[in-house]
Amino acid sequence: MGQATTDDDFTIAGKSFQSRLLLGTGGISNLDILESVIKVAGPSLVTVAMRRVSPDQQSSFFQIIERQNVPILPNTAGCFTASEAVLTAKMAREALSTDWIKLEVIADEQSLLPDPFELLKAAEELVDDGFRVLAYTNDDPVLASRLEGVGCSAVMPLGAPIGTGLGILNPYNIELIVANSGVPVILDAGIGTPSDAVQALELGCDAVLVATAITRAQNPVGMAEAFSLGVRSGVAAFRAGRVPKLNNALASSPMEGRLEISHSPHQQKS
Amino acid sequence: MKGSSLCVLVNGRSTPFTTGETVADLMSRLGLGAKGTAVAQNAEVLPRSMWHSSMLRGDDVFEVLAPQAGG
Repeated sequence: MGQATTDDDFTIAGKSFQSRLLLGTGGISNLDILESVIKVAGPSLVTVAMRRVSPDQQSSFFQIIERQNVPILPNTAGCFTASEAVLTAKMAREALSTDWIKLEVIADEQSLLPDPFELLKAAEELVDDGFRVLAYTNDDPVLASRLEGVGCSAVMPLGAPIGTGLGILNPYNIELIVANSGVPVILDAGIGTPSDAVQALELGCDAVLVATAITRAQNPVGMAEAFSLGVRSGVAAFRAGRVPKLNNALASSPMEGRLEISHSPHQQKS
Repeated sequence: MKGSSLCVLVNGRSTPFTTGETVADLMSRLGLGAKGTAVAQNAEVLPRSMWHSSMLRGDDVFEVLAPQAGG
């Protein structure tokens, strides 16, 4: 946090952010580690889930998150229907005084993939109710476009299913989503290492959301630092413009001025 | 025996209450309601500002949620 790299700023729903890293809190083993991870990662937003409370677990998590002075992005993780997601979002707005929501509506507990029909329905309803919706979506350019069409503030395509760490399975689709999107694209889910995050940013994504890859790393704080470095590298590479991929070799040294030996086997005359 | 048979459901648990109890009373009695907590009564969000004026009714269903690590 606090780096003066304003060239790296990006904007969601009119709000400017510096870090291209959003941090998910799922999978963290204890709250002390989470506090250190947040400090080292310096994320733009920290996502939290909404769950039933009991008296003994009331507020320690909330207090730790709140004192980090990082914007909180509540999510609707674990919702299977539009109606569950909408009520969860409204309760998050009441609890946290924010109209920002990371909308997740999953189809089943095995794949954890978004249910496109319930997702779109919930997105439309929440946008109409004044929410800033950041929609967790499949890596489907058509669905991403539809979510933007109903007024989502950002689309968050998955790289791979949640928690798999498989990286970006379909970079072609992610590039298409980026090319067609008028709202920020935040790669979410499936990231396993900082190099996956670098790839997402090189593909043109505006940011990445990382949870498991940091929270379940052998050393979460060390991995948080690695991701913090990685996202800066990725966005710098995208801005610098990579070389095109070629099917044939392209000499990097000039051919003029090279020595010539008449008996070179490749220059024998027939 | 006022209100002895009346119950509400709080986060899936049947909870007895007495006539005249408010949502604020219920949250206080159960040790819930800290900052960062939201309540839905029968699938409608009940703003904290209305907890004191909202009386419990038999068979009300409450969800009480707060942020936790996840997602």
